[in-house]
Amino acid sequence: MLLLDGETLVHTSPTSCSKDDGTLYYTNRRILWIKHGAQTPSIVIQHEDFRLQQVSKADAKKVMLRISVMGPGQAPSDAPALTYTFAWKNANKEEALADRDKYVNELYKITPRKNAGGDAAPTGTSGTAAPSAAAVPNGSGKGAATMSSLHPEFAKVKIGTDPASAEDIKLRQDVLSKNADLAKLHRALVVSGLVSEEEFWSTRKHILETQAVQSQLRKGDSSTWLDLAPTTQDGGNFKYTITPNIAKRIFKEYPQVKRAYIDNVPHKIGEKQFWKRFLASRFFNRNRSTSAMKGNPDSIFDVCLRDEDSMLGDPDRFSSQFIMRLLDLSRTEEDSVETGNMPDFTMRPGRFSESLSLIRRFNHHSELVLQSAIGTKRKELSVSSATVDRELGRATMLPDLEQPRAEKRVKLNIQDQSRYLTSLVKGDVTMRSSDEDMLQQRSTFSINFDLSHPLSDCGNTQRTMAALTGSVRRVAFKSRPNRIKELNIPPSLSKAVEECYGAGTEMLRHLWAIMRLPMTPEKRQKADKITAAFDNVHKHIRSTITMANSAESKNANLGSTIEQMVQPVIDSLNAGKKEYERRVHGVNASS
Amino acid sequence: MSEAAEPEASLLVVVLDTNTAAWERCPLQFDRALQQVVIFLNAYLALKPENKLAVIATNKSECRYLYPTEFTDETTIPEMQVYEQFRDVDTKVLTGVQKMIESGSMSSDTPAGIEQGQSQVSRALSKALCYINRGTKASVNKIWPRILVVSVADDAPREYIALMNTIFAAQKLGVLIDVCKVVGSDSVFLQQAAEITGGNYLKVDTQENRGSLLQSLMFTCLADHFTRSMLYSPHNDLIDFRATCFCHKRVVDIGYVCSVCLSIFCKMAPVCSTCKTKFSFKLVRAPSAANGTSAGKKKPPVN
Repeated sequence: MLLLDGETLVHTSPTSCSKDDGTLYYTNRRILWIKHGAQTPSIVIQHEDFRLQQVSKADAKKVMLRISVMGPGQAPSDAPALTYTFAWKNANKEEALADRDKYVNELYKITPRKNAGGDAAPTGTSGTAAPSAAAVPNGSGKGAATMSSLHPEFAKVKIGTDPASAEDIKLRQDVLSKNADLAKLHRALVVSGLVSEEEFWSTRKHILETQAVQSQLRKGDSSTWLDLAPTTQDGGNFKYTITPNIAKRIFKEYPQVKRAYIDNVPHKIGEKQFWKRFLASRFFNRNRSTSAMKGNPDSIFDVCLRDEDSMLGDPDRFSSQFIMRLLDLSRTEEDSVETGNMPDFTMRPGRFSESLSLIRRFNHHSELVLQSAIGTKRKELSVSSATVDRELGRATMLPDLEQPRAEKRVKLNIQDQSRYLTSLVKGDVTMRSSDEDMLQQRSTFSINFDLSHPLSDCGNTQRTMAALTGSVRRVAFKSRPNRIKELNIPPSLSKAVEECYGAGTEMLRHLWAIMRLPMTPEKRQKADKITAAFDNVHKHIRSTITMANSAESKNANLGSTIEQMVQPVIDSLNAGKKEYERRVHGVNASS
Repeated sequence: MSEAAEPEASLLVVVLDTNTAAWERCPLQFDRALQQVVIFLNAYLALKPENKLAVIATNKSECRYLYPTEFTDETTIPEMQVYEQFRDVDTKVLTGVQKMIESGSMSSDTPAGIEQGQSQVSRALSKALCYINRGTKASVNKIWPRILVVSVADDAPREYIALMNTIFAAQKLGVLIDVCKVVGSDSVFLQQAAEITGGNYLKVDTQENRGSLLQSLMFTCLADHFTRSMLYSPHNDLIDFRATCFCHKRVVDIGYVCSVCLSIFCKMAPVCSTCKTKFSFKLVRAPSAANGTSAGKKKPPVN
């Protein structure tokens, strides 16, 4: 049997399952059952999937254990889909019972806790289990409870005391399922126990907040023009598909059809028949082809046609009193009279009678879209002439033409300009000779301008060359495109290095965040915990280096390469710790 | 700007720092350094007959053209054994430097804010850019301009704004600025000049290498635009862009910046000591309060 990375065997027992003999294994990650003689396990249960256990009574003939498991792709809230029954084969019933109890105890630890309310905050569980319920992004969140019991350091590192609410956990799950990189980091840091769940999220609040806002947004209706396009079938027939969703949109676009539907379906004609007649009707086909009035006369839909024409063509549909003056095209007539412009003849309504109904329908559609967007927020048009004038004035005022108002300015009053500029120079500024020295120097400063003699000494050319080529080699190495690939680092190792960096960065992020603020006993406790958790990271780094030294690769000095790669993390961790200790001692000394 | 092609000529303007006070501190003697620079100039001219050269010398009080002659009244006596152009350049540069040092020791009128060990590099660079602008416009064929600054003096803080302006002008004109710092500490300003314009910054360790200035110049600054596109040039990996605080001149990792005059301080102060702006702290959330609110859960608005 193959164990996974980091998996350890806890118990084994000979058992039978579905009348086959085999061995039951319990590891810190999975429950396995292997049939006798088989190489691979025939039953594999991840701890995350485990839901429920049942045992036979102590006085029953056989010692049995039944395990209920969540099926693949099943949500945690669903009822468990699979059950396995294992029967102990040990003839000695006492021993078998004792053996089974070991499993029962282990399984009890990983049993997902259900709280009484079902949707309330899981306060009943231990402090670590609740916030870590979001640990695994694929929905099997309960597995994290296992992780906390398996990783004692996980509980140690934990800093936050409030258990997360159910909404928070859901939010976190949503974020992780959307963001693969974050989920990866989360798995590497939280699930492996380097950082606690609360800590992990405490520096990523903005992501959660964004997600919270996004989840609140409701999607509006589609504003696209409803276009029923048929699909061509064999034999030149057309097929229309009308789903309930499309029907809903048809009703919205054509209220007459809705009325007709309510009147006729289902007591007069069937639903299928109704849509068939709708698609064949003149009402439906009238704007779809150039040959007008194609389609069959239909008692139901001809009424609709008439209704629509009368509704859309009704000039009294809008009360002209409430038309905003800025949008009223008839008002432009005044312009042409006064300025001598030709009257606008392009905007005459109803000039093209054949496209009139289509134009009306387009306008109607735009109206619907606008209404759905504005919704109830539509402003009531004020009728009082004063406010109308004011609105009009505001709309017609062009800000570009207004007299620019002088901005209130404050003069930048730099007191000492030389100090301002001197600060830009680094290094020792005091190393300047005084004027007296200068005079003395000038007397001794003599230059031989006779260059007829050859250059006798070019300095230490070897050393200069070495320095220059060394510098060039560094530049060349840096700009080589696949220099990382040339190092031949196995993927598992590069992942481990990534994890080291992720964990280190996360820890330091928290530590520096605390250190920037004034120290309180509470914060100090927190910082102490973080610095203590540095040891975990160091351990991880050490194991990575050991792994590198033992790994096989084309790169002969892989170990030292990896060591160099993780050195910055070590340095930063040490620097952070040192700074923290310095501050703590500084505070102690002063107080 | 388009890519440089092989047969195209270069226009090199050398800004030579002749600040005697600074050269005094240099382990490499000035005349020896000068000799090496002149050899470099000859090498540059020998590289391509179309190559153009100008030399500008600067010190703490002035800056002037040494070459070409149109700006000086020097005349040279032709000599049979030396290539005419080499001799011309050599003589003019050397006599020019000599004159400049002599006049520098006479006059003591230094512009305000420039100290003994500092030179007017920004003035020289502006002159160089003007010359380049004229040269590139006058040239019929395409000519690729660059500047080499042989610097010995310390950075003059007074010059900062002027220098930065010339650097950005050079960047716009597509002029590379190579910098060769021969003595003293690294020049922050010139480092930026090289970085921004895409030139090389080179610190020649004259103490350790006993004056291999010529070798460094040849290696780093001789290649023209076209050749540079194929070469890795020695690069200063670590340019320190960190700021120093205005109050104690300490290099700081985290500083407080005045929102009005952009002065940097290592400690928070209620009044900016540079521009006397009084800061309103009402807008700044107290650190403890900020922490308190962030710890509390923010409920999303429920519609």
